[in-house]
Amino acid sequence: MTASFLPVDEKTILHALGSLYDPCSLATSRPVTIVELGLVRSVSVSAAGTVTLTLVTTSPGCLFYAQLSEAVRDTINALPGVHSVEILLDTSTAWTPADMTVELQAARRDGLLAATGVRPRQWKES
Amino acid sequence: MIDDVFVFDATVHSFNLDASNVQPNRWAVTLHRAFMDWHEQYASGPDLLSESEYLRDWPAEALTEILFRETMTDMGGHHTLRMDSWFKDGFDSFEKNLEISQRWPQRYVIYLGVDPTVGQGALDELRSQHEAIPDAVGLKIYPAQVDPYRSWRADDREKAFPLFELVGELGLKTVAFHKALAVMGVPTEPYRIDDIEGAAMAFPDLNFEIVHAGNAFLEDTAHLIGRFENVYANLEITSLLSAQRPVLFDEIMSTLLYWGGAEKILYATGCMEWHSQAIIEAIYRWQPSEEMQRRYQLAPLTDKERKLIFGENYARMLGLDLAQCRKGIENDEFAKATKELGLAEPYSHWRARCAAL
Repeated sequence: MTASFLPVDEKTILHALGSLYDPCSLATSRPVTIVELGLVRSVSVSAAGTVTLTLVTTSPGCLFYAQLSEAVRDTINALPGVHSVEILLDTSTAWTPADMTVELQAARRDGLLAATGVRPRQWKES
Repeated sequence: MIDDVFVFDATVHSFNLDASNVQPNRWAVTLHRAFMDWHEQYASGPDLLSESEYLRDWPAEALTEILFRETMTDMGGHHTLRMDSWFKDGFDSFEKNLEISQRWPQRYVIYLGVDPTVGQGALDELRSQHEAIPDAVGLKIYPAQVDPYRSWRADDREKAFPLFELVGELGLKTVAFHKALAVMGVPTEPYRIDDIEGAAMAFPDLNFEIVHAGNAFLEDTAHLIGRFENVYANLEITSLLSAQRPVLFDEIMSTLLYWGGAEKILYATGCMEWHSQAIIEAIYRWQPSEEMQRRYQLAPLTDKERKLIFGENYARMLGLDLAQCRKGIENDEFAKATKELGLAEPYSHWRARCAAL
């Protein structure tokens, strides 16, 4: 490492991870990135360029975690300013729909609206 | 009254938590213990009672002193409970309800209570209770019993509909369903709310309250109050989260507001289970967070909406004139004492009673 080494920043990492899609969402033809889904709990970067990232899965028994974490590692390693990548799995707090971005929650609600035909305060129409 | 807002608590209790009242089965023993644990978990400071204070048979007078001398509550809805397979007297007996209806009619509306799992006997008992309290406004029911386990659905034409027909015939306005909080150690299914829509559709002249709304099945509950004019979200115990789990309460209230509107939410606490003054103040202050305002395109809650939630919805649902209700209580013994002495400390009346025993 040289004195001019400039470690990657968290924003760049999250932007890059925004290109990774949740495998289950792809399987159901409703592609959602892991960032939108809220699977990235935290990111930190040391001065030496070591990226530490904590992931959570939507289910404790997620079968795609190994695949997902490797894709995350490869994506981050491809960025300039990365010396090494450490990926941790958050097993202490459960993922909930509230972890999704506000925009994704709104889209999900709109999708539910279309699927069920329920409209807000529909009772007033009767 | 908080400021000028009439506080009508849609669900209040005078439980019999004395150990001698617990049925001799494992579900009952566990549930009895759980009530003490829940109280300890959610109460603190002067709102927290010791085991020797809490696990007693609470007389109607104690509830009345708490509500109308220690909180800003103006009126309450008192339920006869028929948790017969957990508690020998059902947990909040008809006799207490009768006493309340006779001693403080200006302060309470009354819900009768039967156990629908006994079949025809429930109809007979409802008639009998109604004869004794003809001014009753509602029916409170539970979806399951234990020892042996049995459950029923509100959309069952044979088991449930005759009961609702009788409710209408007797002139009761509302049916309050214990939902969302599954009693421990039994299947969750009866505590879901997917059976309510069949009843709401078949009985458009009756109202249906989902009690403990939002504690579980939030989205389903929100859709239901959004779709049916005669279904309401009753906040008993949910309201406790306003003071103790504000982030969760924010999400529940915002979801109910978005789908159902302020007109479909009924303020309720379950007091005496917890003291309700802190709950009143927390809900009165509550506004949807910025995140919830963004997620649901909600505007800040207005004074008008607050009045709806705290009592106007409940009065409208029951066909009561709130101006008359105000008049009925403005000079009673509780109003006079509060005017003279101010609100008493939380549970101070009950603590004094316990100390004297």
